[in-house]
Amino acid sequence: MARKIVFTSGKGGVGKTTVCANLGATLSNLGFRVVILDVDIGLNNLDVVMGIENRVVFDIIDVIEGRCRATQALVQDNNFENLYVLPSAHSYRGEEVSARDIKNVVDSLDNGFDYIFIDCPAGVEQGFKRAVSCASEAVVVVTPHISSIRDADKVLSILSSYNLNQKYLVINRVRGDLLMNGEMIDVDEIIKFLHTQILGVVPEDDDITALSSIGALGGSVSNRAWMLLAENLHNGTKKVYDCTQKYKGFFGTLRRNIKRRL
Amino acid sequence: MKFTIAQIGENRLKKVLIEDKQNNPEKMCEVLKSDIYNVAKCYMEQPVVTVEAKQGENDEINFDIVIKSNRIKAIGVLAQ
Repeated sequence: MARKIVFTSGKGGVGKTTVCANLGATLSNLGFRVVILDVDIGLNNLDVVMGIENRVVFDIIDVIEGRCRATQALVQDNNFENLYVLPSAHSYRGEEVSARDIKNVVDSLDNGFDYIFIDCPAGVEQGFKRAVSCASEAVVVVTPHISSIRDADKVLSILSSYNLNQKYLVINRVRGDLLMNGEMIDVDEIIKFLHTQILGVVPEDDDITALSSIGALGGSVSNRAWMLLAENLHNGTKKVYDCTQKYKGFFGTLRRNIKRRL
Repeated sequence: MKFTIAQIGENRLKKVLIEDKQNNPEKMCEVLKSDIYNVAKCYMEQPVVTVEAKQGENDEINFDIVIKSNRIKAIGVLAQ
């Protein structure tokens, strides 16, 4: 039976899709079969993030309306053989899809995979409810910005009314140099404010932006963070990436000062 | 005492999060509902919990909690 995990945040642009895709890729590299469902109906992005937009034949609406089976609509990733995507439709009225429809799709994929990731739309409206109601665990993605943390707090409150086994926090786009300079809200403070089990910390990585333009995953700075995140999710290692590591000591201070001047 | 940018941000965040909770009884109802449901299901089958927040006198908030169930579990039998 697959672990069904929804990736949510409340606020848009914090990196839900990026976290979902990279974590999925890392787990698939470790040998697990992973499928990512894009349930942001009408505003699909997962296909372009993963570079599979030209290979989409069927989408989740085709599955719901019975034009194909869920397994027929899956698109295998170009670089990770155990990673599959069920794309969303780019033009469809989302309100015509019910939570039960999405749950049926998720259930039909249950036996063939180790992980089913559900990429939730931003906001806490109908799309959010649809995505959350078919998951058994939730990952709330947050950035170290007040607006994002505030929205994550609201989302976590709402998630309490769902029957979820576990809720995790991923802090994305953390800059170690700003943390060391006391210019960014500390990771420990965010965990304290949100009272939620930390799954991982992901550093700001320019490679992610660059690679997303060509539809590729990964990043030189964040690779280690994705690996720790995957291990923590699967084994509960409780190890998280230390973004400040490379900014400590003599050379770290030098690196920080150079970065500040640039 | 001079605060760092991070400390100023943390203080602002703390204030915002507290105010959000104080000013949002509906969300508080959802959280309460979830906690009460977890307790209620130990004692009854398929409980339906409703929590309603009402503005009382002197600025206090009254929470009306109703738990409905068709069947009470045998005493001493608790949920797993």
